[in-house]
Amino acid sequence: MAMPKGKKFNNGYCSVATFPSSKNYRQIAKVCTENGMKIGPSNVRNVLLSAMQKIVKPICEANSIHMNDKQIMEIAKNPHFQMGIATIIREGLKK
Amino acid sequence: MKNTSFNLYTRIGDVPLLTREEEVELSKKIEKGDKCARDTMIKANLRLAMSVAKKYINRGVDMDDLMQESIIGLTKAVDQFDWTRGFKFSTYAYWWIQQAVRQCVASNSGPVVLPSNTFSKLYKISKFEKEFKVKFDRVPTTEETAEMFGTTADTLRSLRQSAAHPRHFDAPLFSDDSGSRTLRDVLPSNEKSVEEKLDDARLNETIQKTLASLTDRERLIITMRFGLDENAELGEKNGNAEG
Repeated sequence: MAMPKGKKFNNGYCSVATFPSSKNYRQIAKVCTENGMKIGPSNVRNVLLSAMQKIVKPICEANSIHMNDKQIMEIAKNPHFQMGIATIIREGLKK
Repeated sequence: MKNTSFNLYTRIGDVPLLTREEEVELSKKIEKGDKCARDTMIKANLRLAMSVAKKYINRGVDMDDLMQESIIGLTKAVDQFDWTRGFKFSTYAYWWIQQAVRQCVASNSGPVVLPSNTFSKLYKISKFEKEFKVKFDRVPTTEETAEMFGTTADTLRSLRQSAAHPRHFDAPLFSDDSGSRTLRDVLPSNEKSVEEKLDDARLNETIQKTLASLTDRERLIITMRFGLDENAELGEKNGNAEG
């Protein structure tokens, strides 16, 4: 059965096409492995999601929003959230 | 200056209106070079000059300047009036005054100085639009107006843009100055409110703190994933705290 339209965008991984030098999980894994940090593409994804979860938690706390781990994971996986965080970090680095 | 114009406006009716015979009489004297007759003729027609000038109020030119220009037009009319043709002086002078005032408005009313023929075209366009609205109960489209005047819609748009009057942001919203609101108060602003700015700053601070607490591996992966290495190293910016 074909995936419904927009399903991947809404629920899948974050698109990295917006940023010129962004890399996908496979490329990141390759670069890390070549530099002595042995890691697979899925592990790259897991590490990224773990980092995203770490970012979600204090934001929720700062806004007095109580969320369980599942909800936090959902937000961390959300491509819109990831893009937003990426933009904020980029802006922060430019300043 | 104000006193002078005030005096002029109050004394404008001092000289009585002239009859057709008096006009002819004065014109004959003017032809012979009688300056006193010329002055009388001008003074007697100041009401006409004023009535024409009044029509052009709120076009970006001061009333005093309009009055001055209309008197210049009136003077030209007095100098060139040919009484032998049998028309009343006011019929002849009206066009001279109007031409002088329109020229003044055209050259002073906006940031772009328009040639007088362009200004006159715009005046005709505005007149046509008013008549069209009365007749068809709707405003004509730019294309319709352009077709009527034998020009293109683009030219018409550019003409209108050139003749547009700039408005100050701090000017009162209503011409009667009844309220304290200015144009700036009602225009939507793209700028963020203070609350939004504070929220953004707080969010940014939270994220930066969290980033500083990430492990080196997480930081490296975020850097590569979001293509941050082109700007700067994330680790360098946020310190090298080990999480």
